[in-house]
Amino acid sequence: MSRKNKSVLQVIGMYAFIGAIILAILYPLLWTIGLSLNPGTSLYASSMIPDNFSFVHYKWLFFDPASDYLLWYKNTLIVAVITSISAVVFVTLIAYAFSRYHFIGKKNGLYTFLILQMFPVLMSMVALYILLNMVGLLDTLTGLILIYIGGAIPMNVFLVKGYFDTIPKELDEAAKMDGAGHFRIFFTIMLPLAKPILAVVALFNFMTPFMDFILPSIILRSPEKFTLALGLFNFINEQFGNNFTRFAAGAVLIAVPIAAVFLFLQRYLISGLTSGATKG
Amino acid sequence: MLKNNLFFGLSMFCLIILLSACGPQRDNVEVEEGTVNDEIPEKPEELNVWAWDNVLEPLKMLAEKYTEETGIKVNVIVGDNANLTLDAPAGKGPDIYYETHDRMGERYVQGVVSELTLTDEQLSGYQESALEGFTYEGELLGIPSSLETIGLLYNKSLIPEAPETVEELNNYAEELTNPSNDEYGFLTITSDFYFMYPFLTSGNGYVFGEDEQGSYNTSDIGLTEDDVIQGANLVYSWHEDGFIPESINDDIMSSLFSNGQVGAITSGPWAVEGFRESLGDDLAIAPLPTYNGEHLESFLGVKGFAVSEYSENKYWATDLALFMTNAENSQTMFEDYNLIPARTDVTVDDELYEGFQEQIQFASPMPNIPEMAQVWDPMEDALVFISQGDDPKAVLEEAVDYIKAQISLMGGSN
Amino acid sequence: MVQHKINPKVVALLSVIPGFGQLYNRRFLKGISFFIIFIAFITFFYQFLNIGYWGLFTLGEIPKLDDSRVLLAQGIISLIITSIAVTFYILNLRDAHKDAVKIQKGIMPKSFRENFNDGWDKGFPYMLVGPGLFILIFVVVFPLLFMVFLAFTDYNLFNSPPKYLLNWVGFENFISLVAVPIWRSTFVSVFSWTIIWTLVATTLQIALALILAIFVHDSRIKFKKLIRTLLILPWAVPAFVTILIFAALFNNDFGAINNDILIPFFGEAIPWMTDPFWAKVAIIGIQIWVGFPFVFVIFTGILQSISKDMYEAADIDGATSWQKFRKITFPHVMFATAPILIMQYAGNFNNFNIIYLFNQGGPAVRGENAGGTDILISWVYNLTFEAQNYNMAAAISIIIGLVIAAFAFFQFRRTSSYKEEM
Repeated sequence: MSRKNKSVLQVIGMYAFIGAIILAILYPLLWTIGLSLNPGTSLYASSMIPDNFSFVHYKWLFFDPASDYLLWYKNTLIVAVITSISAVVFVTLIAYAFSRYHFIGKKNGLYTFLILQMFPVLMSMVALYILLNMVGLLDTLTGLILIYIGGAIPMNVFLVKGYFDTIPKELDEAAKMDGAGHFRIFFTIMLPLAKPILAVVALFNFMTPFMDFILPSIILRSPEKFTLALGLFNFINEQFGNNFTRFAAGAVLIAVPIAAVFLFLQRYLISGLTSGATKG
Repeated sequence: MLKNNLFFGLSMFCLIILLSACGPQRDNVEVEEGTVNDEIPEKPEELNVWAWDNVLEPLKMLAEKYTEETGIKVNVIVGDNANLTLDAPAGKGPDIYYETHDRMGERYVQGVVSELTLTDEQLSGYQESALEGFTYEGELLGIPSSLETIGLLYNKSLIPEAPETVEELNNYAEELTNPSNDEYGFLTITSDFYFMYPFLTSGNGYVFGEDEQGSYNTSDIGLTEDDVIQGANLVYSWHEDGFIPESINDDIMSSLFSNGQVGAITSGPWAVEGFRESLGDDLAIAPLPTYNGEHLESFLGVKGFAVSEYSENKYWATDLALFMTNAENSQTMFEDYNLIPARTDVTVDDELYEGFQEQIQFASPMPNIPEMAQVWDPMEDALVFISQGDDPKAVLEEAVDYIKAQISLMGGSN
Repeated sequence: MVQHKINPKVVALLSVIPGFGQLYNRRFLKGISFFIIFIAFITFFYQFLNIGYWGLFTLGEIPKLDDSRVLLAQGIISLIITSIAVTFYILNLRDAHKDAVKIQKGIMPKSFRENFNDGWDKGFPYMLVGPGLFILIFVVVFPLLFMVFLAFTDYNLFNSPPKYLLNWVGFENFISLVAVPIWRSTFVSVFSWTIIWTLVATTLQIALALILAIFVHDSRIKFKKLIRTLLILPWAVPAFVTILIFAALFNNDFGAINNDILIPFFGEAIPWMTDPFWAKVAIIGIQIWVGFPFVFVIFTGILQSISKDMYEAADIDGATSWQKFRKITFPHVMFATAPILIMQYAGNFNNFNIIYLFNQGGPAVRGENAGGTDILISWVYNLTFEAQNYNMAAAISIIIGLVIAAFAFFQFRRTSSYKEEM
């Protein structure tokens, strides 16, 4: 077999493989969209390409007086935006310290927390409940945000620190010679250069509130304070009735904006995450 | 420096010991015992109710009515009763909450439900078995509101006359089943112990043995009796004969039945309105058929209101619960929301629900002890094995051993 | 200016009450502020610490009035506050001692302003880390401690606060885990599947990501951007939605995978939900679907960063694609991403969502107490929320945590990023 033929075969093989995977990715997603357009509530009676398209579930989510969907959407956006911004602030500050300064705990601190976070946390939900109740933050979005920020720090600091480490130290040393202070170096040299990884951290923390339903179910009590994931999950929870098609419609409306932001930031995602997660 | 550290470590330690010896100053500790006096306590400004989503609307309506009558504001919200053990002592709990009777034992050992002392006058009108369901260790823990049990729902265009016996039902299954067209004569959820209980316990079977006072004996489990094994064989035969597909579940069964593809199913009052809409006049409901000449005993589920142990207004909370379940309101709850009243003084005037009414006579309340929670999963597993063709006797014996072991692991002393 | 004799030992002794040592050093502003902080701390926290330590020791005395869980939490918070206080206390001593030594040696103490600048420089990293550390202590460390303490109590359904008080039971729960046969056998069987699950699912997820990254990176492949976009889609959809959708797709009799794909094309259905083997296959497949894009993105970035010279050199030497992969790509990629991959393994070990949402750990396996796909964490969930066996759940959680922590610790130590910190 000639070299060229072999190459053509290889390319065909690669396309076939990639194609198969893409098919496997799209199939359940399209199926979900199809499901959400079925008029009934039953999972079984629905089909991927419904006989009669209906936006009844979307209409319900937006316009039915019993639906809190828009409220949940608003709550989730609030939590997501605040968590995202605060996490970026906390994480970059800490990562800056880890990357550029010497202090007690620098050597093992980060890894210690990374490992501590690997302990299963389901049991500790009770503890968070009691803690938040003590400080009066139970059933508040503030409490939820604080816990999200705390939980996000170790992993994200790891990524941002990795990224900062790739920025040559000569840059800030030169600035120091010129008399720039700690914060000045941070804001004028580090941050602008670290844009890709900041985008990644912002994106990760923006997504968390959309995806997590366990923590809100422990902390949030009033339906008007629910986040989307919790509210949606309740659609298919037995005590709250069983409505899979409505769930699918709600899920599509979560996935679409996230996917859009995701794809929009794709360029940053690849460059930022890679330099952060590796030693460049 | 080391010396310093040691010194301070020591002094801190002493301080801790010192502090731990202190504790709170409590000269006269008042553990409030239900003070018995005849005076009616002052009305609170508001009462909080935790409801389930499916009864939120009706309860809100009743709450408004109560406010009109008494002036007490009532907030009804959807609450997850599993959170009570944290929420109630933290002061975030409700005054009364909507609950099924079979959770009463659990709520009682968690300490979140208050014992009720009601007069005979207050208790009159409630169905005996419903009150029994809410009684745990001799204490009445809740006020019943509605009843549920399963009956036989059938499609008159396929099965004109309600089958009287299981044999008749099987004949219909034989006649009507055609899996390639998704058509079935009779469907039920064979992996769900709740649905299978009538068939398994038709003769001498039972879940927990009871003593004379009606207390359950958790070491006496009657799920390996001969008649249970016979029932298990019946369940297996439905799969073996191809009448019922193996991975049947509620969603599938309901949608097939709605489409008119199934002759009969077993289901409860919660599903009736959906089917009435899709099947119209073809829908009919009968009590479960007889098996070996005996009526099948289904589980009775009672829903009602429990008063929180942490309510600061137990008197008015109880009053609200009684109001929500009184004859007039029970009538409304049935007429507007199709909840079968847990009262004897309310008439159910709907042909469809009369089928359930009839079956309720043969139903017995699900055990309400916490140990019951250990029964469902092993029995569900056992039923799956049985429908796959494993030997019912061996499977059931294993399941009972497992249930007993799980109960012993719960750490209860009783 | 400073003429009076200073004895560092006296200073240290005086500093037993914070601020006094500094006053003796004639650092009045510092001394006074230290003293005020000290007094404020004592008055503000005395009552809280008092109840906290009392609660930690006794777990309450009167049922219903004392909630053992709250007292335990307060006790742990008291421990945390105390350790923070002790840290500052020791700093105060050091500070006074150090200043005194300096003064004794005749080094002029710096002015307040100089001191401040000095402190700003030295303290700057602590200032950056401090607030984050504070949150971390309460969000990560405190719940963990709470769980550890619970493992030594008798918290189960029949002895649950607020109705009853908890008691310290020592290592009893850990002993039952080994001594009671039903605990032991379940633990062992669940543990072995957990290990298999973690290794297989994570490795396949990484392998798929690597293959795809290499393929898409290949210069002969067109539409790179579009392909990458499609490949990271699973990441952008909330995982709990995906898993629930898959659960519906995999239904034996009515799910689309059997009805629309397997039966029409292969003429046979697979019992995904009822056969333990196929359920495991399905669940691993879903995890790969959900988990590969993250790794794919990282690998893609790394492949872009490997210099082309290396491959060109290899081409000149006549290396095959396979040789290039083995000698250049694979080591490069693995070396660079080791910490992230370790976290992937750890994450799957604790991947509760997928097991729980797919089929609650089912299907049942005869003669075994946990479901066919139950991993340790989903078993713990059942113990906690279904059986309310909190004490055992806590004990098992600690064991899970220790296993995963030991694994991660040794793996991290081998990675390059960790060694660099040394």
